[in-house]
Amino acid sequence: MKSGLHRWFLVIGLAVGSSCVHRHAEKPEPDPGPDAQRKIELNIPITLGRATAIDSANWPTVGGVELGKMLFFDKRLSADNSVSCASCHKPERAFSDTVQFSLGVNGSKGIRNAMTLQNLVFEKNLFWDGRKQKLWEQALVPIQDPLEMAHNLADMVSRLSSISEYQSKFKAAFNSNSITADLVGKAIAQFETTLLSGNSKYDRYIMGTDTFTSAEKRGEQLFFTHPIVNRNLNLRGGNCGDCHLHGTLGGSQIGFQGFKNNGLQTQFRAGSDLGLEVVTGNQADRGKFKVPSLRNIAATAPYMHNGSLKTLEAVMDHYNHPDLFSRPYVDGLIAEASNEDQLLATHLALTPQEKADIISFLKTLTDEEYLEKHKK
Amino acid sequence: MKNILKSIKNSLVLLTVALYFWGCSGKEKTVEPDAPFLTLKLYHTFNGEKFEFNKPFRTENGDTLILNKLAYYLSNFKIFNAGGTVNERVYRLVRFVENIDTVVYTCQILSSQTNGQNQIEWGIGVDNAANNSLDNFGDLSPTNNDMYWSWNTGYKFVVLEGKVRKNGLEKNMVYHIGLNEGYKLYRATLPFTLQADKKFNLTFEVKLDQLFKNPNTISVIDENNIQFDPVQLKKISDNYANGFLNLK
Repeated sequence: MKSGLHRWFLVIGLAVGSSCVHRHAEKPEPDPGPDAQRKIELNIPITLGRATAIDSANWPTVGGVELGKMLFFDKRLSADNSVSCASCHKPERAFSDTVQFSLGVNGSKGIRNAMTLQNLVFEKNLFWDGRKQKLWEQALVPIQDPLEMAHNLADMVSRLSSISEYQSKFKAAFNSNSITADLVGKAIAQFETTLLSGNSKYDRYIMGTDTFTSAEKRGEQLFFTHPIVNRNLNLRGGNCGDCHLHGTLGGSQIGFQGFKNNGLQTQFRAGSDLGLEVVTGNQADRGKFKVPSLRNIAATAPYMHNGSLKTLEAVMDHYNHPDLFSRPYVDGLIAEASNEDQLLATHLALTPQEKADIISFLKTLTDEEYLEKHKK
Repeated sequence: MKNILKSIKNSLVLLTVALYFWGCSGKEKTVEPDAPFLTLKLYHTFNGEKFEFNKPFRTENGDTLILNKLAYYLSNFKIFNAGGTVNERVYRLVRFVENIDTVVYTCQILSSQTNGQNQIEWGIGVDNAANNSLDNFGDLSPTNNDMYWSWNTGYKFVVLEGKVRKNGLEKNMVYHIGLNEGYKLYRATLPFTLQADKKFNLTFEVKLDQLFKNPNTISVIDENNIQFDPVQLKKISDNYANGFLNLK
């Protein structure tokens, strides 16, 4: 009964803020330009809620999206023509990678797991450490990163400018006779802005057109419940919903509150990945990384910022690790939530059945249509 | 039971549709052209000092708090005197992000209220009706809101997160305060008379140190995680009923 009402509560909230039943269109300003420069409507699935991070200065156009998609899949953006954006952001994996660290040019390895790309119109802070706020600026970073595409922007622009197909597509999309790095970033960002996923079993369940199994229902209930064990209550919960919020089941978009140290990165030596601290300069942000959206999570293994957990079972075990709460820097929302008496608790303390139920729920977040849509 | 659930579900479908159309329509409000206009602002202090995130502040009990999240609800602003009452069902989620004066509400009052002294009232938290309701939106929307607990517990009224230190010990601090009993009213008398056709700023000092004292001195190092427990929640809510909001 609880989850049923929770579901209807969610639908009501979404309906009030939206303009049609299944998808709501975020409409651009009227624009009578050439067809390729015609701005497109973003059909955002209603179950995701209201988009909060649309870049209105770089609204997707017909030509911009087509060009951006071409660039996204083009290995010529990398220094040695060996790697494209799609090499590490595989469409059939919700634009994530299957390995812990993706391979860049010359087989170089990064230090973080390739993030999933979906529903980016909800993400205000980009990268695991939140260092970029504009999607088009973000798109230019991996091109230059020596561990990824390792390309000098001027050289990349020069290479693209020598390709007649790109000359005509940039002209059509941006009415520009010259190709610039900024326009490359903007075209890729326009394509990425259209990557919207909201047709999973969970979405259909929310809309009342699909049903959950008993395990999925129990998992949903656990996911959204903060465990409480005190003199008055014994409420079992998975505590996931404390950090994975909103329709995307991603982090808070208020400032950097959607960045947490989940206990994976707690020992720091020279060269350690400090996460958000590098951006804010605040030691309290040490080892904090972006709380990602859990949409399509079953398709995006391995998990976490460092790709260190290979399966969803391993993720559940991490939050149940006996010494989790005592690790330095671990977030208070994690360390202060247990299914055991909090004064004695050292971890989340879920039972094997509860962990399996949460995983059953997480698997309902897979949007098969999305995984198939951009497959090459 | 099944029939009851079905009936609830059907009602909610109708409610959803109704709210969809309601949500798209404009809300007309009668405006009196010569009535005073109020702008309500907030600023936050701790022991009289400007409040900031990630800066240590000491409670009366001697605990040092370093906060990184602060949010709370103010509800149902009311201004009244013998000449009339303006009482709006309004919910404002105040999130401390930067230490600037936050405009939390603006409203026009009745021209009849320009005679004599007015009193004002704010609810701290969310009133029982909204807290137990399924049809909230705006600042209460459950779909875009980390202040929402669940349908049977309602909202977190006041949220504080960070660290607490004392005598070399450091702990996480997680205060998520709510439940119907935690809804409190703050009243004050306006220190000036309102005049027709003029704009007024009402500025409130929000004293965060007050959350931890008077009437209940809180030992945060001992009670560093307060969520759901009615006894602990009552101690904090009794404190924010008393001296948390202050009309300047």
